[in-house]
Amino acid sequence: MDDVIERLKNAVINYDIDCVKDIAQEVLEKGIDPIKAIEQGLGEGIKTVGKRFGDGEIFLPELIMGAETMKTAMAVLEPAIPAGSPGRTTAGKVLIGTVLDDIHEIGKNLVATLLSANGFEVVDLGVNVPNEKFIQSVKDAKPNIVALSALMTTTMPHMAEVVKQVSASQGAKTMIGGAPVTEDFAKKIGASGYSGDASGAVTKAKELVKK
Amino acid sequence: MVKVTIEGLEIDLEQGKNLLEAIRKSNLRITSPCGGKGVCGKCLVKLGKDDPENLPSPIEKELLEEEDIKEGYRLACQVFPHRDVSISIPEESREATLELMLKYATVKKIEEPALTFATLVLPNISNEKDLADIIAKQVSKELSQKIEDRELIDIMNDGKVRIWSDAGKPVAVSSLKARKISIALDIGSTTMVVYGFDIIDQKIVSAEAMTNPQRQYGEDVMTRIDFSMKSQKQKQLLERVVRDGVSDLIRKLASKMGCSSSDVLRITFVGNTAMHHLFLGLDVTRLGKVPFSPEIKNAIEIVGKDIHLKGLEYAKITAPPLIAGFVGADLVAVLLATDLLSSEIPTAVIDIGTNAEIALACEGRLLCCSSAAGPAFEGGNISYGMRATEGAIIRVWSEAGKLKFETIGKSEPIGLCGSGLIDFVAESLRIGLVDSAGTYVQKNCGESLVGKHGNARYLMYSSGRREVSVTQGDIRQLQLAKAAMHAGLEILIDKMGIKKIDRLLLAGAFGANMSIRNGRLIGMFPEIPLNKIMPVGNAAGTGAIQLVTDMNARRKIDAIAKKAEHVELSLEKDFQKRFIASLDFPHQDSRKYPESSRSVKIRVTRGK
Repeated sequence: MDDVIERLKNAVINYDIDCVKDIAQEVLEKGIDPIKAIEQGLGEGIKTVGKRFGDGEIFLPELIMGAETMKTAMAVLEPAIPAGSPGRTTAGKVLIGTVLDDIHEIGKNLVATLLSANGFEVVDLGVNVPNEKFIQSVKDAKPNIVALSALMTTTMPHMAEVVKQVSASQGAKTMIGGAPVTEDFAKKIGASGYSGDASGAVTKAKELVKK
Repeated sequence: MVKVTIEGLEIDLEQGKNLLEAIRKSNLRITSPCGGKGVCGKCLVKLGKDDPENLPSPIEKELLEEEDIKEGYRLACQVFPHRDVSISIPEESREATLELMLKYATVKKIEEPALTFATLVLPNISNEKDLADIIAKQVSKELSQKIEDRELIDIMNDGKVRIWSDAGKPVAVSSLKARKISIALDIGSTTMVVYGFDIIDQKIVSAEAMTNPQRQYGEDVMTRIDFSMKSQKQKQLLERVVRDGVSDLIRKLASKMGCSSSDVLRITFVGNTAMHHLFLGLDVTRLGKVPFSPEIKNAIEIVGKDIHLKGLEYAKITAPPLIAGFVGADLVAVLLATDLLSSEIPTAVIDIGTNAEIALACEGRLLCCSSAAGPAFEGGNISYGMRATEGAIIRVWSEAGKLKFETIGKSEPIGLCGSGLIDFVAESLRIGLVDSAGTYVQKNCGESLVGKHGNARYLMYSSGRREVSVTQGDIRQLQLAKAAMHAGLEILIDKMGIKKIDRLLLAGAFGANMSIRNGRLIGMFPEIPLNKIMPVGNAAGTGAIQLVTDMNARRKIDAIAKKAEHVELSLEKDFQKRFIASLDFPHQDSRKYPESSRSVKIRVTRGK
């Protein structure tokens, strides 16, 4: 049975989007626990892909294909998780979005993909997210971390506002990123974390959850 | 603070900063290919008086001749003044952008002259009142009061006056001696260029260029918008420096043309929307956020004093209409110069830059967008990237599987400019040093490749302490830039409802200097026949000149801007997908690039 899980993992590592569905079906047919298949098969596979991306061995197209391969299998495995089962163990919950007046999403999506790949539960609020929506969603979703993205210098002040309010309510840790964002800026506005790139964001998120 | 006097201009410089910094502050241009790292020895300046506290650094001793040092020649990046100094910039270290600007702005045939002159023979007149009466009667009342005193004697002696007209309307009266001129002004985020049009000769006779002085407050447009948003004072500062810069530039140009700023009848300017707004004093706040709406889209017509241009108080200032927050009057001028709307076959034009502006015309419909390509094409964010100045690797090719290169000025390489980087990647793809996914292929690179994966770098040149290499990260930057541009064009093609374009025009100096074949191989452009991809030079400058000189162009311009439909790429659902698919060399879908794909030696297929 471990052979199937191994093949699931390899399908993600090799971006084998055509075969992964069949392998996922096989998991169910053989009566293997779908949670185990997700965590040890897909999860481990995407972690490998994420690490290779972080090391610069592969680039965005591979990362996206790895994530899509995983999603394809998830669509088969997730509905098979028995109701009331304890569910997946997650690395933590991250609320993510691009701040108000800014609609750039590729960087934000990338971080979200890598976080999911590393076992985080990700709630993606999308782009052009009003400050109040971040604040309200922190109350509702109770994440460990709020991650904010901005691609324009002009929208960075919104980060400061959200970070300030979230910190004041002690609702969650905050981390920020995006092309014009710097570590200095993160310190200045009191964000709990900063990363200059997507794979660094995962490391930072893991650190923040442990703190 | 110390005072640095550069050719009469006084600059306050903080202690601990070098002369290069002072020169940058002064808006004078100096060549500094290595960016002040003390490697290239090009930023030569001459110290006015000997400053004994400031001995030559070891770097200067190595790079400069002893004789020259004795005469006061130093490197601007190596001198950190402790007290007031006065310096001059020798001709050899002045940056040679002017020739480049002039070379690529073409002056088209004037179909219907917009600026004209006529000579009026005066009947016997005895005093200035008689003159004013005749002008009032025969030309216009307004102009009869605008005859300059210094002109009176000449007019009386000649018994003739010259009447200058713009669009058929008299706008100035002078003696026969006076030369009136008009100016086409291109305000780029990096460089501002003015072209001087002599009305009597009916041609562009001179040009001047300078660095946009706003650069000291932010290299890119967004940073400047942000700076301007912070306070009214900062907004005014940005406005003032660009207006003073323009006034100064025109004063120099006019004097080169044998007249003065007061002889300028008309200035037509183009520039991206942020440069346009800041020059006019418009609010740029909304350019910094979704949906990036400009304050004004219509054509502008004011006079110099409205925006405090020095010496140009009565010059008419005009600008063509613009299209969107990131599709400015500069693109409208490009559309005019290329006459894109009249294309009988689907034709696109790309103005390659940090923001690539793209337009596509087909059967009278016109779509345009701006794509954030980033600075990679200009050598920005590239480890050894630099602008196309001396010492830049500009061409790369291979002989017997080995990469060869050529630098500007045939000197020792200092870095790569954008076209050098494109050549490097294209050639590496051909001989298998880099695969279609953009990754270095270790086994084919041999010892030239140092480090692994994300830390890998290919040594193009290394000698002693100097090295020029291309890192894996640099290739990624180029992939991001070309993919953004390609995906933008694809979205326009798709929106137009066509399958492909038949012709592609490249505006800007970059398009004129790069290898189009290599650009197409890496997937910057769609795979259409190479002779259908054509550089058109500084088309924005050309369009601005046409608007100054030609009635026909002036009549067309509003219609062009009105026709243009703007597409905001970041709102396009398909953009991310197309962008990701465009990252590969030449493209993930080899069917789109049958010929180029065959030229890529190592093709990566995924998922099988």
